[in-house]
Amino acid sequence: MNPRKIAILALLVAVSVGTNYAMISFYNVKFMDFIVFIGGFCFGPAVGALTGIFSWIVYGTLNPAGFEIRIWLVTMFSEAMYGIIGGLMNRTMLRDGGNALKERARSASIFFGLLGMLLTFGYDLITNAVFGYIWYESILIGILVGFVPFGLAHVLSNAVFFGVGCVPAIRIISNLFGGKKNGSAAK
Amino acid sequence: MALLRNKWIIVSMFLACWSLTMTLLAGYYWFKFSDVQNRIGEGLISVSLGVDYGNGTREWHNNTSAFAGETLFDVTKQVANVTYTVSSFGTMITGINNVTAEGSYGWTYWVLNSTTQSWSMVFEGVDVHMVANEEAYMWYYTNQFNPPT
Repeated sequence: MNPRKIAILALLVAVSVGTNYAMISFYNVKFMDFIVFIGGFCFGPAVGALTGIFSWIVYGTLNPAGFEIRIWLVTMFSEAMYGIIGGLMNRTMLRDGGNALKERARSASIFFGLLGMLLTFGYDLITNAVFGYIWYESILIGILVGFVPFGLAHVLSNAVFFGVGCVPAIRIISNLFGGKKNGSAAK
Repeated sequence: MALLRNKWIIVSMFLACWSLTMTLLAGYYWFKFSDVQNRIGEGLISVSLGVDYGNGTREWHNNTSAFAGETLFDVTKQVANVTYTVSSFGTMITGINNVTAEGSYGWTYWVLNSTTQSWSMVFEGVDVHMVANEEAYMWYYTNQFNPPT
């Protein structure tokens, strides 16, 4: 990882952690997942995954909801999933030079919105399962209790953030950092 | 790009999101329903509760509604003004309708044996003993351990 990527990683983590604390009163509604995904999409799976992990190292340790090491670890590594999937999606979606994002912006927005929902389902199922195992000694109860209303808020807010934000964010970052036309991460 | 041109990918993703949401919502409400059902058991029950002040005055609260699983303490609070203390031994009723324990006098509680039609002392804490359907209880203000007459 070159110094430029390290600087970008630091920037992404700062924005992610900063928005998390700014949105502290909106429980389970955060830009973090979106930022991690965009980080992975634009700069590669490693940058995306590390953005998620480093964000949780800070936000999970100094968290108003408290600290539990097992939940902290699982949230940290589940968050990395957004970045890894973002990086893999980049390789799939930008093979044609990124024109599809311009020509089919509406389809791309719907796709990203649905992808955000699915990723959030995955994240919530894993983290709520661990939460349930620790607090209720039942994975099923953790998954079910965690879904209403907080899981639902998480899924729906991410659908909106991913759906509305991904296409413009990718375009802006591509312009700022010279674009990424061939599916490889920005250099 | 094939991913965005193929509408079935987006339709499949939408259906996956929809089915996951509905499955989890259904599971959540099933869990809440089971939880409430476990707490109230088979539903509403009916008990009779008497209060004997030890001076010839006795009042009855027949057919008092309670949820299965509620304790004698819960039911008593429904029908009377109750004062009580809580200690490591459990909850102890110290007063019912402004008649409070004094000296050797205090409140005892009895359950009616439906077979012998006699009162039996309840050897359980008032906040632990769960009432059952059609049972009759008596709160008796006395300084002895003789059953109410």
